[in-house]
Amino acid sequence: MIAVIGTFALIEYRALVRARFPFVWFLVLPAVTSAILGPAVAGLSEAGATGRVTVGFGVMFSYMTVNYVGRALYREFDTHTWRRTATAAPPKAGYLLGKCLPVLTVGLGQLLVFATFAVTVLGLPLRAGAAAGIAQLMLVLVPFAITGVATGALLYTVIRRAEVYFSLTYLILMVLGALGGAIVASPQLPGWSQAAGLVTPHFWAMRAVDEATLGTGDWSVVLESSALLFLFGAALTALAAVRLDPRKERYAI
Amino acid sequence: MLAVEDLWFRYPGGTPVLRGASLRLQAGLAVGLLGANGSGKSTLLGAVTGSIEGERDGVIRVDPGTAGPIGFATQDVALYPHLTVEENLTHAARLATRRWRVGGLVAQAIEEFDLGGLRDRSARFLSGGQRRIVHIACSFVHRPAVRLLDEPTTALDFATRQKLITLVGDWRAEGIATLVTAHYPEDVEELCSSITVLSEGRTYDLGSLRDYLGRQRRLGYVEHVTGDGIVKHTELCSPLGSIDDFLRAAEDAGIGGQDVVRAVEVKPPSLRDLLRRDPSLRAAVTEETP
Repeated sequence: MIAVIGTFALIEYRALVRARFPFVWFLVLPAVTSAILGPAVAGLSEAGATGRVTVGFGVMFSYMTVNYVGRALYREFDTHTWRRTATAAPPKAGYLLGKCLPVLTVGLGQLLVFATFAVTVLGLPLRAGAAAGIAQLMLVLVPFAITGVATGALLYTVIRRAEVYFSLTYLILMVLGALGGAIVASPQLPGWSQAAGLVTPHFWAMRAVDEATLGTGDWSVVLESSALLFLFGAALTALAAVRLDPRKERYAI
Repeated sequence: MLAVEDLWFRYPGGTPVLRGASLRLQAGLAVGLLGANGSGKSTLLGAVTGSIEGERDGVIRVDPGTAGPIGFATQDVALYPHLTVEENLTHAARLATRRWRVGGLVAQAIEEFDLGGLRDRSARFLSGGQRRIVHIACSFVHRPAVRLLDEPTTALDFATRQKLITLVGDWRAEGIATLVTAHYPEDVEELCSSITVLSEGRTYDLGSLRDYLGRQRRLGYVEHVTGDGIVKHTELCSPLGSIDDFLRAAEDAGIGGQDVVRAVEVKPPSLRDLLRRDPSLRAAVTEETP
């Protein structure tokens, strides 16, 4: 099991590092967008609002993990290696973890880079104190990153054609990010958007981030969001693992 | 080494592609699997290895002593382009065997397939033939005792094809059981010792290739000089049994009354001759049908 995770993780790690382009999506684009739009886009004016916008765009673009998990899984069909993989019949969970872990690492790393930059350079406060504030951010960003990767894995199990999958990933990135209050803070959104936003992981992530930074640092709010995100991520992962069948043919672009 | 009995297979929502196919691969033998395009050769290989999705019914027995999964070199070249040749081999070995064996097996494959000069080259920069041979090396890096090759000579130049023929010969000498599907009869003749035909989802074991061809009615090859003084070599495509057969076949082949026959050779047909006459090998299948 560990060997299977390791061998597929190594393939994907090398693909991410050698392609280099992923870092434009994960780092450059959200950084540039948040710098151009500034704090006004979030509908906030208090101190630290610039930092909040930066974290918000980081949260939104971290869902590029959905796209990159798809690249990892459809890669087997693009390279025709799926038959060899299927013949070896690796454990499904090991295969899935190996494919997803490098993307999860990049997604989580991106969130941490943006959060660190916002706190240390842009003056985003940590209301519960430095150590507790960092713990609160970690508690919410880790499960949020898992939801992105798990969403991609589950989506892959239901979509045969890569072009359909990749079109959907951009839609998911924009729509969930917007509805969840990652760009414009949720209270500033229209009523229907606020209501719809409740079912997005982004809403719960931003709710906890806002509480830990611009709010009062209340642990109960952070823990509640964190637990929901963990549960959501775990449910998606389990469903993806059950549905995954490496023998099911997919069509790469 | 591998026995397949009464194998049925159909893709999800489709009609059966295999309808009771049987196959026996023995140590040291290479079987050529022949069949028209779309007859289900690749499906048979996929169903045997369990690498395709669909409903499968029948018996597939692999000798218990066979280490690791069956080796399967698919028709499509399966390589990760962003990895080097050595990294591709290492990944394939890790998938199929224990970690402690990986280093030794990769080194062995690099030597066996003569890939020393390519080991650090990215797979995306390999030529078509190089990609094919690296693909075959990856498929068999764990040294499986049963090896299936689907159209292995595609895109190979003459030297690499000869290398593959030598390799298959070496594998037979090592006691490895091999199954090969190929587009060209010459490939089957050079790579395989016996043949099986796949037709309408069923297999027909024709046995030893040499014996099978020896059982066929003989063909004539004629060297003759035309009335214009031109020397021609003509193959008589009709089977020969008597002198009357010969005269009729010569007439059919356009050898006229002005021609002077200088030499005649009568010998069993090659596989190509048989396929030219009967592309789907229907006659062979009919002969084998009880």
